[in-house]
Amino acid sequence: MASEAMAIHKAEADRVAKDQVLAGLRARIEGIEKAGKLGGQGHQAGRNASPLALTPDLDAILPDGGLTRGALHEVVGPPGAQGAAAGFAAALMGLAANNQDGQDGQGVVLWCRRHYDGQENGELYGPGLAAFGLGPERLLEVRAGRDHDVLWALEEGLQSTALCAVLGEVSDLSFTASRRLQLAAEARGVPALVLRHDSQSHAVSAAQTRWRVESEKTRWRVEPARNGTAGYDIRWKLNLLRCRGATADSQLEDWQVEWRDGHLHDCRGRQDSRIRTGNRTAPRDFAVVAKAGQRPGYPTEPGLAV
Amino acid sequence: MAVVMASHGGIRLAAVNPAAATAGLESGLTLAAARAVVPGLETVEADPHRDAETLSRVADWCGRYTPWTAPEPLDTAANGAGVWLDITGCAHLFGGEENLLADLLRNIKRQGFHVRAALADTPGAAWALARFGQTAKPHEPEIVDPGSHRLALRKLPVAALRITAAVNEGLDRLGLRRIGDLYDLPRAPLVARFGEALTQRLDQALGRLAEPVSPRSPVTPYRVRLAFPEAIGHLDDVAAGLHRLLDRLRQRLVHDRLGLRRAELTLYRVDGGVARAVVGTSRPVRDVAHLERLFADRLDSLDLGFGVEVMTIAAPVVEVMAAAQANLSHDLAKDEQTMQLGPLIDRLEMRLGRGSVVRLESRASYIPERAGLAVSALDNRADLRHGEDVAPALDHQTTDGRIMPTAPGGARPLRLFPLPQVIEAMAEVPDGPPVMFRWRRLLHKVVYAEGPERIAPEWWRDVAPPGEDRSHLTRDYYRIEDTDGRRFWLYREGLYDLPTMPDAIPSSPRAPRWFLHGVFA
Repeated sequence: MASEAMAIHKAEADRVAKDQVLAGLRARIEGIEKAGKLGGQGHQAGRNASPLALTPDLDAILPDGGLTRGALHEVVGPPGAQGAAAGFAAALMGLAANNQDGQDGQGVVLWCRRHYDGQENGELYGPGLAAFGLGPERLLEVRAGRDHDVLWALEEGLQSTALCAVLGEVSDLSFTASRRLQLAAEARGVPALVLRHDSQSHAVSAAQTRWRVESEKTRWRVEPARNGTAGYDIRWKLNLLRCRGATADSQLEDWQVEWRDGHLHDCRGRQDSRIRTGNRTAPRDFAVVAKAGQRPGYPTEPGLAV
Repeated sequence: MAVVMASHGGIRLAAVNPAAATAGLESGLTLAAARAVVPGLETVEADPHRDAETLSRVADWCGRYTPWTAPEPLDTAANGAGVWLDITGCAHLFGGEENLLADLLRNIKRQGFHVRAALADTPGAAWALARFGQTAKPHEPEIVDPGSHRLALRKLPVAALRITAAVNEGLDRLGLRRIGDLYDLPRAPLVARFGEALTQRLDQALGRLAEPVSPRSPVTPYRVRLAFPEAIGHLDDVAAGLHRLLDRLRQRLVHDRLGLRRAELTLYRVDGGVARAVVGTSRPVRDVAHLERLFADRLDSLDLGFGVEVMTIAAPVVEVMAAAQANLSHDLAKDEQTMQLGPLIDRLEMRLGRGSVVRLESRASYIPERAGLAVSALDNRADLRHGEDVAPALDHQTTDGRIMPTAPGGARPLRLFPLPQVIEAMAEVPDGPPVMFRWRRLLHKVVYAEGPERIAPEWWRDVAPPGEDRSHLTRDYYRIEDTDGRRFWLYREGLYDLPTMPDAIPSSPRAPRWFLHGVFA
């Protein structure tokens, strides 16, 4: 009896051991396949990094359940000062800096642009960026001479282990350059963002996602904490123009999100995932206009929107 | 042949070559007199600037023997130019003083210079012997054994003491022609007659008074040198030499617990030229691989000429650097990340230029352009993550006494124009928010406006001259949203209702103007 039980036990043990060996071999093959596909040894790091959570609804659409960290993402916006596109990019950077994978700590991000962009479209403004979680200790700005140098700085930043996200403002991004950035981001597991004009929203690139960002009507509100002065939540209208690995029904058109309390939120009050805009008659919240000449910070009477 | 130069109210000879000297010409003669003696005299215009440049170059080149080199300026009264070398502690590297001097002369003659060299205990004695010494063979260097310079100077003319022509003439009249004649004279009458300069020079030559050589470039104790048996002309070889030098430098820095902030690579070429590369770092560094990477970009632009004989690396700026302590806390990964930031900043700055990597610091100021300031990332040696020296964000005190941070979401723009953009704006009431404005030819219709936030000039910073009214610099800021949802930060500079005081000095009655200062997210 005892020997029979022993035999059964042994057979069981053999089966478990076999399974373990097989699982190990499968994992190895998987690893080899992945490495072979990308030719990079650091690839594991990129894939294993958990995606960046945006909003519940956006995460549901994105193939990785969030914004893939080790990838290139493009943000395009209407030409000009690009306030909205830059704001959305800053929000993504802020999220990456403050939700660093595997570490409780926060990281440093790199923002690269050409130095004449400052004259043309405005310098990056620290107090404004701080609202997106990019305080002075989180952000390094690189002022390069031309696109080429910006791209070089991005790649250099992606090779360093010191950063947790990089962003470049470029006027032109060739497919080769985008592929290089994508590979470098993949190898390090760190998001690379590129901010471009939307005149190039159909350009070919190796980026994983391309977002078109426009301003959306602000929701003004009274802030009791600030003594009744007006505050607002920044709102954007997102179009996910392309997304590698997404299913056909996960397109995103004119999706409204807002930035509130250091996080992105889906706008409340929408019905389905495809919000048609043109609704310029969106509920008009009210703004507060203080009487001219009154010092800021003093109680003001709620006035009427202009 | 002679070099001529306009001086003392006429064209005079500044220098003559040996052939002209044997014909009886000497410097200081007028050109007319010289032509009378040698009718076919060839002349060249003197160029003191290029002479000085050449001399500096030679002094640089001599840096291969000792870091203490200094050019002696060209001065016709002082018997020609020269280069000082303080070879204290360097001679043994070349197998003794004779070998060093022989090597130096051989190399410098190969460059086409006629030189005379002397080596003595004091700079004064070396100067005198180099110019007035009489060795058996004319171009042999004169080497004075330690302690015997007093004897060696005895026979030389007094002019060898670096004295002015007037003093020289005075001594001559007294019959004091040799330096030896001055040795035993009482000093007081000499000082009374010729001033301090004569006895000072005498003391300097005899070593009774110190005369340090002031080096051309600052000398650092952290300097390593590599000489090649054959001149090398390949960048790969230079890179290999660089690696060896950096490793030796690192050992010394580790020993002294220092890290370098700047490193200078100097290549001494066969043709007498010098090529330099300098790299700077954001924090003390002694990591060979990192420094090699920094130099790698610079090596390509170095001109190796016909080959490099000697290379040196100096670390002119060093700072205390504690030994890296393996930290057992959970912050290890974080620390490592911070450590990586320095090399990254260095590489970016190296390629993109100084000041191209900045941090956006916050300053306690109400003026928007003062509140955010771009500072070079290299400036702050403190850890980037813990910016203790950064001014705290400006806080707002509400009427009921609570402190609120100034910048909740969207109170300040994401982008700020360094020069506020002039716009044409229309307002319903003079001191109200605009209803529409034109910026860069585009008309924006205002849907929402919030404000004003009044920001007056900081009187405690720019002290206005008494009587000047600065109220026209007051700004009323509005946060504006246009029909497309774009958000801007506009301000109106100046006030409409300027208080009219009876005895007010007519201040500049500038009409208020509108500006666009920033763009919100």
